Amino acid sequence: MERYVIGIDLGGSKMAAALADGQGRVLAEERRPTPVEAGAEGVLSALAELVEDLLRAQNLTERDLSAVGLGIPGMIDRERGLCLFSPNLFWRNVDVAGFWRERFSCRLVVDNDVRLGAVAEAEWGAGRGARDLIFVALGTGIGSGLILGGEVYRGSRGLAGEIGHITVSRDGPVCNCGNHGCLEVYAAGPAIARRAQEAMASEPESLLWRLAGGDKEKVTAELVSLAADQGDELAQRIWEETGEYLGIGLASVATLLNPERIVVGGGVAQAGEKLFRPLVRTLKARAMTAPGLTYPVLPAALGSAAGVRGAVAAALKL
Amino acid sequence: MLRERHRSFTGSTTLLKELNRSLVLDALRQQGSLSRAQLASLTGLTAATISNIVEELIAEGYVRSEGQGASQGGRKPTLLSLVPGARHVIAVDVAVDRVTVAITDLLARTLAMEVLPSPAGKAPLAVVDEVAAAVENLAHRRSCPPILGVGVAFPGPTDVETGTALTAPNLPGWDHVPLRDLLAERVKLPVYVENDANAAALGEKSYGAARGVRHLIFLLLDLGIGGGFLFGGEIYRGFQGAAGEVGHMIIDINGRRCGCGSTGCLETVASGIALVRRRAERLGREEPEKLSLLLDAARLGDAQAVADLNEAARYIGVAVASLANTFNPEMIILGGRLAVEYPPFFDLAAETARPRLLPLIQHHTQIAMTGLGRNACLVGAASLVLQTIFQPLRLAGNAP
Ligand SMILES: [Zn+2]
Ligand SMILES: [Zn+2]
Repeated sequence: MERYVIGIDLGGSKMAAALADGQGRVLAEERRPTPVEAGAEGVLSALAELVEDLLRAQNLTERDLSAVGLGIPGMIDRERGLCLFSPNLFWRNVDVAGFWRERFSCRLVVDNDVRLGAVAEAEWGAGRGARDLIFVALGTGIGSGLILGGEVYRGSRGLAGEIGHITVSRDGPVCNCGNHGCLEVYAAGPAIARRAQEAMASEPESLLWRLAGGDKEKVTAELVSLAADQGDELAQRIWEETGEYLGIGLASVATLLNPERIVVGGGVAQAGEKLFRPLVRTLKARAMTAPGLTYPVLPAALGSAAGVRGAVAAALKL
Repeated sequence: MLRERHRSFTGSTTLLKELNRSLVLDALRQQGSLSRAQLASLTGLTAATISNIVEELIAEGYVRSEGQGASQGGRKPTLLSLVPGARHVIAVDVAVDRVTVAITDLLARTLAMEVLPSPAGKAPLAVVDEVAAAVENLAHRRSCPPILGVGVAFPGPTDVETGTALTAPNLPGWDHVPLRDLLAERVKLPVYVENDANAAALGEKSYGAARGVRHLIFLLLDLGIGGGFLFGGEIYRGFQGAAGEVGHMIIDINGRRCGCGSTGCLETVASGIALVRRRAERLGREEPEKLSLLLDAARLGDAQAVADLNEAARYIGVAVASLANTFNPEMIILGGRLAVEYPPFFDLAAETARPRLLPLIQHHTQIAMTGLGRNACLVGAASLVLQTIFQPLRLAGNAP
């Protein structure tokens, strides 16, 4: 009898699920908004419904499933299936595995979404074949999944990979975490928007004013990308600097880990060349040099599907 | 764990026997003295196997029976213990300003040592000759039991498979030096080469502050700054063997130029070399003084020396927090002369790091002082040899 798995990527705004066969081939996919305001119970119920609908549409039942993988943006206790903390979902100590057991009998593996993205890129994407791989996810925050010696490296409590809070400047601006000069305060999505807004004050000619309808507060990283692509100098400068900051942060990580490859993904990485060019140049200039040392940087290959595919991979490995 | 170890060795009876011997030796090393029954339950080996191995080890002088333990009804069991002096080990710590060669027992305790002058400015071959001469001296001075081998801690990335020193950021001229083979040729003993901070991390795990710790970062704070990463109980080396270069993390976006080619590296603000150079600049001297003089001055209350060291300690604290937040280790150990010989350094670094740790990391990260004092690298070098008899799995796993 053919057995299937389901992989789920639970995000702060939407949740995506994929049904796959025993080889990881995706047979059906479904995307829905995440009802964050309904609380943990509500979100998990919606998630259960999503699983049931996905099965029903393929004329399958829970008995056809061997396991389900679930990625959550936050700090996860993988052993106990707990979400310790998720700022995007406003969760603290949510017993995901407990909820699951009340509804389903098939096994569930819960993991951090970026760790799962790293697994997917290593298995099927830009990290294929690399034993020591850093997968960097650039979005609202900056996270990473570390694949060391072919395995996800989790550290002592499963929290390893939070490179967004590596200090790149001791006396820099304050971060959400309370520290000064974290990589995140320079190069995450909101930081890109903030730096653009600050620069706009002295540049009334910038295209960004028009794109934002004259309201500085409406500027997002996406809008800065759009403006840069349309030739706006301010926006181009912001991306140049963003690439430099990321290059500095990743130079530290690369010098510490000597990875075989660095794969950069997440929404902000969609900016493409205008981000990668200064990033690679800065990384090369600022990482430790020694004969034979190289730090290849590649854009992620799976895009927004990395989380779901990683959840599929985790379910297959259970 | 034990079962898993056995599984990988069932293919070869000699290797299996080696492994079982090492299980017994390691149990005795860690527990002091044990009865045969305790050994059997600790190692998971049968009573008959324990009997055979113990008999062999007693004949070879590694183990002696040592009176009688508490009885649990019936005859009192004979206690067995390791004979620390049964074999000796040579440990070599190549530092930028001196080379230390020591002879140790099976517990990595130093019995005698020679300190050789700085290897800086000398050809690697000349340094190897000096080390070989010191090894001869130490080995023949006493009525010495057999020597198991020589462990070398080197201040730069190394290729442990081939025993090659790949490069040394603070010791020019040491690019791709086949250190293991050069030394082995001269001393006619097995030689093991490892990066100094990696070696120290291994030393802390077996003999120092990190016994039983699986995820450990050791920071060697001396003239240079080195890092040894023990992830999941094994040294993490990275793709080309250059992982752990903590000294070249960037801590200042617009910092000073570093010897590695980058700018704003931790070494430019918090290493012994940076400190003595800055002091020389300030005093208008051509030549920087020795690090030990700066540390003496600080201990005696020289305000400028204190201020410089304190600032370095705060930078180290920031780096410790970044490392803890990124890699979630159980423990970060500070060693090297900056930590060991200027006591406020450790406290200030730890005080700076603590509030910077992310909430869930904070309660689960120990920041600890080295358990090996000034000798962390030396004990680490000894442990490279000692692990061949106490934990041969790692070595067997690495064999080409
Ligand atoms: Zn932060
Ligand atoms: Zn450097």
